[in-house]
Amino acid sequence: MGTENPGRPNFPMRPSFTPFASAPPTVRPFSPSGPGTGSESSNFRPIPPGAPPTMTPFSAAGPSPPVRFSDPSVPSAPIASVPPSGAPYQRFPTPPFPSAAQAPPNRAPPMGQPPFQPPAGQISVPPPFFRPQTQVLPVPMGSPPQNANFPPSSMNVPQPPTDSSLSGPRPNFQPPFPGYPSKQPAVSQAPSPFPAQQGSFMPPPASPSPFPSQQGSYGPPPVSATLGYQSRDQMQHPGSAPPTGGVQRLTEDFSSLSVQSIPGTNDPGLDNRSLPRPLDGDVVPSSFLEMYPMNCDPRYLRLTTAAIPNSQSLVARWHLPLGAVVCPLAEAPEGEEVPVINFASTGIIRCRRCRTYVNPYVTFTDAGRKWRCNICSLLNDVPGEYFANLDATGRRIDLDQRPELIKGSVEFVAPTEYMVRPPMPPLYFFLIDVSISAVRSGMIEVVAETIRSCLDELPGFPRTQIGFITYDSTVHFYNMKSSLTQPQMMVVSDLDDIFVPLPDDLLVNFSESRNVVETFLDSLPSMFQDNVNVESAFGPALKAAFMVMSQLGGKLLIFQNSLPSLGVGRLKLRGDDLRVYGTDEEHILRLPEDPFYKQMAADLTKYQIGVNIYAFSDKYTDIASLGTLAKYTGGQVYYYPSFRSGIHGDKLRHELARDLTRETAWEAVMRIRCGKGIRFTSYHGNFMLRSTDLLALPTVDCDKAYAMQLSLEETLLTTQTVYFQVALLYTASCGERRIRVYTAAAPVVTDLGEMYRQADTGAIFSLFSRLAIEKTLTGKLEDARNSLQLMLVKALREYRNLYSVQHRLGARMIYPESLKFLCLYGLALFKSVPLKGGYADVQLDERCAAGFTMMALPVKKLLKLLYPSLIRIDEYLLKPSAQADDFKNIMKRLPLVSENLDSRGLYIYDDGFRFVIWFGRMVSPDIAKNLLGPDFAAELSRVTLTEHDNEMSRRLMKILKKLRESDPSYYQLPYLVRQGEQPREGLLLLVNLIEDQMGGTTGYANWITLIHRQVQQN
Amino acid sequence: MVKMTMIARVTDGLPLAEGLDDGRDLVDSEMYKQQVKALFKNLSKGHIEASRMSVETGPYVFHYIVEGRVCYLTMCDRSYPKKLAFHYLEELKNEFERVNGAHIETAARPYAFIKFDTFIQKTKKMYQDTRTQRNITKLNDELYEVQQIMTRNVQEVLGVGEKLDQVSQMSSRLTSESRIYADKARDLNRQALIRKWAPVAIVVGVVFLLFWVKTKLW
Repeated sequence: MGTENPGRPNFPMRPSFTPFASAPPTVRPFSPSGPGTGSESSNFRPIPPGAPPTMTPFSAAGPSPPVRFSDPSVPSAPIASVPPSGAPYQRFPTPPFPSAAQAPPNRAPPMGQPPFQPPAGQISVPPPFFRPQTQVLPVPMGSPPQNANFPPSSMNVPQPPTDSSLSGPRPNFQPPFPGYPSKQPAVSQAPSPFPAQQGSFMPPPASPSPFPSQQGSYGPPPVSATLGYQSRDQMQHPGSAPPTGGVQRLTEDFSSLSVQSIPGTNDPGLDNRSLPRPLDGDVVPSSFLEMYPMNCDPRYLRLTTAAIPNSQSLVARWHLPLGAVVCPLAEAPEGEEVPVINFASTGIIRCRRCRTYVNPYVTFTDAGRKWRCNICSLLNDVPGEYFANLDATGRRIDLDQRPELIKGSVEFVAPTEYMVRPPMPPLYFFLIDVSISAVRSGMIEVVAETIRSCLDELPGFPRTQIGFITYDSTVHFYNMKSSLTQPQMMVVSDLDDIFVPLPDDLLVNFSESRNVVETFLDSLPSMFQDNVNVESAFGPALKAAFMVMSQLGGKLLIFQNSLPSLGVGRLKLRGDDLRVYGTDEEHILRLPEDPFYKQMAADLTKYQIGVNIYAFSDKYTDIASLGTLAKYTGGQVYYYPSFRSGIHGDKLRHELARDLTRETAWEAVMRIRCGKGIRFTSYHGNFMLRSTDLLALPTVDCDKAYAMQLSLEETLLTTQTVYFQVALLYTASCGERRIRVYTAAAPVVTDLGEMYRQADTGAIFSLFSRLAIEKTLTGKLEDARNSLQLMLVKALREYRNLYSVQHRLGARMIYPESLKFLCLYGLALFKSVPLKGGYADVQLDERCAAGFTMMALPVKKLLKLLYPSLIRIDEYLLKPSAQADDFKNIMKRLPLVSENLDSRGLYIYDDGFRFVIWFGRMVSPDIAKNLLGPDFAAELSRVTLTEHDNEMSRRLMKILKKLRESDPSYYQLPYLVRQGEQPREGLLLLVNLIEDQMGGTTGYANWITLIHRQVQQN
Repeated sequence: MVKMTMIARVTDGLPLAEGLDDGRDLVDSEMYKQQVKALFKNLSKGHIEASRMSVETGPYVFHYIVEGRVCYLTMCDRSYPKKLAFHYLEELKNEFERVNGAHIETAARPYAFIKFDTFIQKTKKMYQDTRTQRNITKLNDELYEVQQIMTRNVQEVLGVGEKLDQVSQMSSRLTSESRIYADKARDLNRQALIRKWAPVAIVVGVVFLLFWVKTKLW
């Protein structure tokens, strides 16, 4: 058994690639002769990108050198960039090498000979290289000898730098390996555990075993294997090998996994270690960007497949969701900020008919006087001020001064036509529950303190507006007029007919009333410390806040600590009834109970108010109803069950601070346009749909993503390329009205295989999870899971049908390389909080909160949540000296299997929302003592992690800090748990080891088998 | 009561700043804003020369001053003292020129000085009540003379431009229509000619035909 991942044929749709156009003509393109059928070729195929002409291993040669070797389209492009001399060596020394080392002994020599003859082509050096290699072959048993042997062999080649290029990258690539010290039988599974292997580096000592075994599993077709070997050879030495076209046709672009259950045993016949796992986190397919270098960055827009089907029937056969995920304000790394363009008097250049913004894909004709819209192909006039002459190739001569014509992501300054009113100031309004439970939990204190500390960083100084309302059984307003020395409190107890007691000064300019605001925040915790009121007039307070804010709009932050019990919008303890589960009534629990909430959300959106809900209660608070407010106003839900300021304070502090200080866009609308013949049909995420395709987003920020599905309007698309354009019109905190425009192009294909090849697992699951969560709102959890599973099975079956003719696929599960994690993420989604289990598995509130959260998460964050990382750190902590690059080494993620938890180890589990720090039973007491201080022996549920004065503790804190820095949108609170400590261990960690079989859920291997069986049943 | 405040550049009518939450309790605030925009447009076209003017519209009055290529405009109740309104505008003008004077010409985007709205808001509050001591002294201030400032009706003011437009439109329509008229006249002439001579031509034709038949037969 093993995974086959033969190289795939050339990439048909690839347009000519400018950076590499200068390819030396002698180098033979990669294409039809493709890599051999042997599984080794999978390792080897993508190397070229890693082999730049200069010897630095990963420098600037390839289009995206350092990344995705597993990416399908990479291989063909960079080859051309390799200079004919010497480079070929560099290109293949590594990956083929291990495999070659394996292969020849029992099958290669006779067949392998021919290729070794000096090729007729320009390259004369190959033989010396190959011979030594074959000679060496019998010797090595493990890779250290290989390691040792190889450099000499390459030294024959007049190319000294090779060495450095080989040894250079090693540190980087080391990580994936040590986790698999005993990679025993049946692993040829290159893609995931050995992603790096595809790059140019030598196999580390631990990995030799996969290769011998690979022969075993691969055994039967020695001929094809040799041929594979040959053909590979041939590829590297152009013209040297006999044509082996027939065999090469077999090289297909799928990966497979053999699933053979041994009859009569329970063993699923799958080796757990060989299963594909996304241990590198989210991998963005880069082929898309390479094909269309002017596309916007995938962090803003990702398509579920970068190949758009040309017919309805093709769409019907692509069973996965077809659509896009847009994260309109994703944070750009330094140096890649979106350029801002001001057309001033010219006005923004847009298509007359479809209103598309000018973008890199429009074409100028008629000597520059007209431009053709790329989306609706209408010929528009170029305004006089925008006119520029065309050069001989039809490009505008001022291209380099027009970022909007060369970049896929730009920002336009909006003229007055895009404003219905002057740009609004940033506005923060706080609605704080001060009933007894809020006081007891310490929430008020943390909130007041955090707001106060963030005052200086609120965006939009000096226009920022701020206001407060508190409520228990009455609603309290605060007059913050700047001339006062301290705020005046006004209490309104008429809940049925709520009114605003003061026309002005409830909402004040923060820079003017700063003193009053600070006094208020300082006194807020003490003001209510003796409050014994248990009621919560949430609805009336919300209405009051709405009245105060409705003039300007802005962000409304609600801190709710109990179930709304008075006035409009009061909610019942409808509770989490076991009996309801499994019936048709089940989903009603996950929907808002009172129409008040949805109505209110609609009103709030209309007046540009975005709501963020912070819920704290330990009891049922009906997040399903409260969250509705956030869902339809583009906000989000933060849920801190049983909040205690001592424990959860840091998390709240950080997340509230992030909410207040992150760059926010106000009064925004977003629209996505696409070419003729296709249409976006449904939108998923937190927003309100204003017309059929206009998303109203009162507030947007970098942590929100929106997904949409598209469908074909015409039965047949005739164009070659489809264009997408996302436009977000918003007011920046600084008071500028702007339009963010992202443009992307995607090829139209007629071939289903191509669609699979270009698929983007991350985007697919972003859409999948949203669809599934929406499904739980209209039906049973069970149904949502089933439909998800059905989709997975259908998609894989369709894919299998594509290739079943050519291959003996007996007990093989085949899947496209691009979707190798499909099953795993599917399983993870099954076990995610909003979808998993039934009544007893997750509390209703928690389930709803997670659902609301997942509806808004950007792709990267979602994948992290679905497949969290597990990192072993005890070795690092014990090491005497720590360097910076050491740090990278320890960040290797382990598969989420309980077998991986060594009782002598210390592990961090990180899902992006919390850490679980797991102490093995036999972890050295030294570590425990150093990390936990004096109470290391106590029950860990009562211990909080603080920094102690020793190196080890500091290091742990540094690790945690690093992990948090990688994504600041949420704060991971560390939970400590000791092995065997029940039920905490189970709840916190074991349940989340999604590859394990737990309770009623399936493990990864079983899941694959299950899916495989269903795929086979036609 | 000051209802609305707007500052715009006269050269091209670009809005530079506007009071915060303007028109909150106004029913037709949109309509008035449209009127203000039309007014700015007329100013930028040079249809209106006066640098200070009061323009009546419905129950309200626009007061504006133009200085340094910037127009400061406010909308008040009719009952609000004119003197006070102009005091208010003067005050805005002084502050605006002090803070943003250097950048007015280079401003390229609408509402480039929106930050000024906090000052507008603050000043507006001071002028809200006409009976405060501060405002009463201002009212009694004889030095500041507002009597000669023209008061016109909004229709008139906006009409100036409209009328000019209308005239040019009418004249152009006249040319095109007269051309059509000439064409039609020529056409009619020809038709009349045909109508006049057609019967004669037919009779002559018949006679000739008869002659021809006769000569053929005999």
